Amino acid sequence: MESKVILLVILLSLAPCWNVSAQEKTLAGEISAVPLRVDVRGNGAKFNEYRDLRGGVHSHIGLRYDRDRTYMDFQAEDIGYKDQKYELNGGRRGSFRFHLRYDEIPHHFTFGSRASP
Amino acid sequence: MGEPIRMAEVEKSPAFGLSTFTSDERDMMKKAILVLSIVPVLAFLGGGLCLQEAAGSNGTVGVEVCKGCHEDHFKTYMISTHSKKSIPGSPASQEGCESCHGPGAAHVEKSGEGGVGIFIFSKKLADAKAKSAKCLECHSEQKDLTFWDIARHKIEGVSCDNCHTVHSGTRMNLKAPQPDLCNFCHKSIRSQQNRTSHHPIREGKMKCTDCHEHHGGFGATKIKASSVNELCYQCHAEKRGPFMWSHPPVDENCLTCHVSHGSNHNKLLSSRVPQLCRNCHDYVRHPSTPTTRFETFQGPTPSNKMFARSCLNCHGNIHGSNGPSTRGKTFVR
Repeated sequence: MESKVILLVILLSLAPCWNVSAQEKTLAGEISAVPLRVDVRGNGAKFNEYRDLRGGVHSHIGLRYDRDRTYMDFQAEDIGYKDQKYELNGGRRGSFRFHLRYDEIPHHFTFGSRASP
Repeated sequence: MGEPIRMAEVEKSPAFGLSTFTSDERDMMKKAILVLSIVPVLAFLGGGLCLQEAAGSNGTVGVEVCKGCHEDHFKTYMISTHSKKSIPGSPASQEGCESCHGPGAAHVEKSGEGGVGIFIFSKKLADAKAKSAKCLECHSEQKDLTFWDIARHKIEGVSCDNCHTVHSGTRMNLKAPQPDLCNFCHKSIRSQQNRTSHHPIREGKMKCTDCHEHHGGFGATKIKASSVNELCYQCHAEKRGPFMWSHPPVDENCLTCHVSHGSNHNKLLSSRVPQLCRNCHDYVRHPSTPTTRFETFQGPTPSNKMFARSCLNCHGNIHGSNGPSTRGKTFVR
């Protein structure tokens, strides 16, 4: 559900960009995927206190649309992990700008602890 | 009276020519024609010179001329917001490079020689006040620069170009992302951020500007709230209360017990519990007698004051409690 909302917001925000004009336009993007193997020796909860650095593929997507006056910048990091982050900046220079951010911040105190009965 | 009659005769004469005039008159007319023909030529040339002077009266040469020599700077300028012509008041909509660096005609005439009135954003060649003033020519009306005149950064000689660069396509034209940009000067804060207990700054989940007003504000640390507590409650809302039993230091200032950037004690505490608690609770209920071997791990009955979370083992709701009994009053539940 969350991902659908995020996708909808992105699409709605990009809608003004399709107003084609003779102005100079730039659409640039980058996608990176980094396979990661993590071996923690010690306090794993402290190591991952505010992050989710598990083994797996950590990805990053960046898209930038820049017209002479209108711009839009979308960034997504660690998609699918507990510290995933989506950020959308856009606006019309000289008129308005907006900043939408969805950022998950885990806070791990301990892993595998037992509660007293 | 003879002159008009002669002119009338001339007009009527079918064979009009200089021969009808005397030699003196012919010389006069030749001079007049010469003068009349020279005047427009001189006027044209003079006007041209004047126009040329008017075009160069502000001494500008245009972006293309600058590009000829400073191509690298031009490329970085072109990816910045300042190069957008459609933005009213942007450098591109005015004089381009010369909007900020000043007119370049003299600089070009002297084949790129320095010291000819070109404004360079350099520490050696311009002081902070002059550099900031150059930016404020356009940005003075910006909302977040309202308190720039009383900003600590300004007083300490920090100028706009210490953090921002015109020649960049980064967000807000920053020279580096946060917190690295701020930590470049605030090294003690960087040290605190790297302690075991810290806000998620180095993980990239928080920025310095989430809490601080970098362009100036009120209070010693220019926080973005009327008090420290109000700032902390923006994220830690559960600590706000209201509680049936409130802990007075919590209401006064979070920084009574906590430090903001980082600590080597749990929960960003300024010192370890129970020592922290004993700063105030020096002789109430649990006597704060010096810890003996019987109260430490070494004795046969180790004290719970020294185990795990110490005082917080029992007084878990230390920020405030809604427990309707003495257990609530003592923040036990």
